Amino acid sequence: MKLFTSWIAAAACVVSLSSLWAADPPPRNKLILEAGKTPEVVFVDGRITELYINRREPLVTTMPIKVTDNACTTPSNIACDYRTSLILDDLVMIWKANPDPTKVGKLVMAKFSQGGGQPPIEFPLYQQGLVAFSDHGMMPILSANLPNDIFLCKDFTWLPSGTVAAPDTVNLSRWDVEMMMSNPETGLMENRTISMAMDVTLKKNAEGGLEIGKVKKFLVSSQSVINATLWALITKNANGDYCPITIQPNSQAINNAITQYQALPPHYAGYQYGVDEFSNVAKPFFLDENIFNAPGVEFN
Amino acid sequence: MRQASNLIKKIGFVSFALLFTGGCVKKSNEIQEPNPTFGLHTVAFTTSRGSLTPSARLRKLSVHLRGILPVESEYDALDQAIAAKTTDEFFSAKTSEYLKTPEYIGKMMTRLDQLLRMRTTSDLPEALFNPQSSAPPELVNAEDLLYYEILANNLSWDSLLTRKEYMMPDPYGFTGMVYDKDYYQMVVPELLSPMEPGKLNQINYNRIKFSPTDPRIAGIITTGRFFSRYSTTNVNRNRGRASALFRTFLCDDMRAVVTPKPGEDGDLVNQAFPKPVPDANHASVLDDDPHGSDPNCMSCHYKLDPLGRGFLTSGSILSEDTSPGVLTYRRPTGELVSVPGNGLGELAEAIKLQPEYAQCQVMHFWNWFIQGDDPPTVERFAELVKQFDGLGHKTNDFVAFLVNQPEFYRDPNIAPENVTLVQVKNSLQRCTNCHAGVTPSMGKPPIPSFVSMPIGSDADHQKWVKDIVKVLDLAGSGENRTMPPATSAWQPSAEELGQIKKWIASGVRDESGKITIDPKITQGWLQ
Repeated sequence: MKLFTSWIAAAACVVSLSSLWAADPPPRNKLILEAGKTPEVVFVDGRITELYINRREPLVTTMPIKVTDNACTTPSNIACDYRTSLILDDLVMIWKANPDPTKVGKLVMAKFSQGGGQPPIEFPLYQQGLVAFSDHGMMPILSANLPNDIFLCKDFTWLPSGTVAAPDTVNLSRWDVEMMMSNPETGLMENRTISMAMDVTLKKNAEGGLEIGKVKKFLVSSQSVINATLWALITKNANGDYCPITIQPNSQAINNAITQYQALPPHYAGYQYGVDEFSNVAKPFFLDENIFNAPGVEFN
Repeated sequence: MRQASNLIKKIGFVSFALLFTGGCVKKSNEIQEPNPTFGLHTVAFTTSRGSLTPSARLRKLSVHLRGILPVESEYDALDQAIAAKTTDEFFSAKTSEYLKTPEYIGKMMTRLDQLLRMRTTSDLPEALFNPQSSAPPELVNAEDLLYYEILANNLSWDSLLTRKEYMMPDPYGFTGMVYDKDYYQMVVPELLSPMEPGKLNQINYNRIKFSPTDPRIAGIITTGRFFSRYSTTNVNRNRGRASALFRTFLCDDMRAVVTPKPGEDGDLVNQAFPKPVPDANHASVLDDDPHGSDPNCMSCHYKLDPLGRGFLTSGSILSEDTSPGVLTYRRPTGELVSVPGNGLGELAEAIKLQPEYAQCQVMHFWNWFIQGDDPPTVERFAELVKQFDGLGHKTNDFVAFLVNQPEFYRDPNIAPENVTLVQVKNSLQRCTNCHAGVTPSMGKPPIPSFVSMPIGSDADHQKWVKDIVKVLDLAGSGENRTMPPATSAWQPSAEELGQIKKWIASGVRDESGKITIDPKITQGWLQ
């Protein structure tokens, strides 16, 4: 341990000595963020990019779901619908000023070499922002126009109440989603549970469905809800026993709806910094000055 | 910290090698044979009574407790102790000294990771050991720090199962799936309060304490890393978690060996799958479930399902609500253990109180430190368990006791059985299969087949066998092996490692039984 500490100290000494001889830092490309104005990156060579956004109206769509199991009872394959709403906005960095006039108004591309004879990696400065019902807590501005999601069933006997009609309220202690992903401890791919929401209250609505009311804690984005292979809802029956309920969502239907939704003609406009949570909570990855000063990265 | 230990090992090795090349050969009170493999200090291993010589014992003590060799001055001190007839005192003091080192903690943490089948790559921050350290904080989490606190503070080994207190780094504590703060957010909401501006680059350690009777909390079980390692699914329904508890704390390997006796199935089914109160609308889900009647399935499910229910309220993070479960298993005598617990904390306490728990933990220590091909006799094992209990399960105290037992410093007896390539071929073929698809890095030779003798060529054969010894950690317990990679689906069993070790010790015999390397040389590599 002493040897290790000495080694660290020696390394630190070398670093500090070398800094004495270091030249002035090179000029940096600047990211300019001002409330109410469009964010810009001003490059040292005079080029300028700016952030644009394509805002879409909310998509309200219905996804078929199938209740396949309740550990406390035996519902068999009860078909329901799950009505959800979401917004998908596109955020892009485009050229505002460039010596090549054909590039102005076009998407900015980033490129860097991988070395070792590998082809360079090139990618656009583009990011899609998904906002859904689970974002009411973290992104109230962006999700303000999204109605609550609803379970719509003709038969609610899959719930512990056992009634065909929806009960007035249902409490879910957990709402998990299951996805195929890597186990960080073993590196092996496996089905894994991600707790999506905790302590969820469903309330009967005017349509006779169960609307998501109060949610104590959303833990992950609802994007994973859409793409999940399975949902597990944990609720209690009248005896106080926990009853896991298994639901298979059909993400195909919702993904088809999203594809059509995304195909609508875009209406890009300059993004006004600070107006919503894209400025902080759901900030696109390229709204970071370090990206534009990363060694070896070119922007074209 | 384990990284730091490795660095220290490397530095130590370089110093060792430099001294050796300087031609300094230490004299010892023992009979010595030239043995260039070990560098400076030549160690005779066995006395005429079958015990290790004092210097070999020192070496073994150091390697088993710290993972590194003693330095030359320690051998000098040992010689002085032998001359002064204070050898026992020397080893007692040396054991205490080693148990306080970061290397000991690092080595034990690796053992714990392996016991729990976790990855073994995380490091402890240097600052934990040296407050003046300028080394950057590293990614650790509540589980790592639970290990650390048990080992650094000589806590009861039971803390691993039942502790209600955690230390976690802030803003770090990443477990590979969730952050500690996220994992505990439902039970300790204040953990999520934002950090003060200006302190974002400063690592802090949060300490959270729960009531000693909090039924939700259970040591290692209620950590984000454990939950992440043993993720539940709709099919699995926490049985993987329950299985890990049976395996780790009761040494139940979950093999389907217990078949309920005639007439007892009904009781077991009720233990495993309590029927909901029937009503007019619903029949029992068990009516169609083959698990409820198949004895082979039931021989595991009757244990896993009741214990798994203790996890029911928690998916990937810890719930604020408990879920009742039952610790159920059948003893070899046929006696059925059935202890209900409302929550993981109560279930962990129930596990701790079972006699199988202490026996299982002693067996872990035995395997780590004695590594006996010969398990202890029933009487000897009972003595060890009694000693474990007598020491209050204090971790380091029991380690100190164990490494001063005659089994620890007896002749390791790697005397060869005539194991030939035939017996290890399957294992080595797996290595060969995997390496066959790998392009060697620049400047490195291609990796040859390990199942053709000589390996590579006559000129390279010894080198490759030495490499096998090294990467499989055959000179140690196999715990520090670097191959196969941790991500490999195949990991050699203790039996497979033992066979490879014997194969090498007996002279790397080919399929006809012909010795390819002098066993005197290969046995030196294995020491």
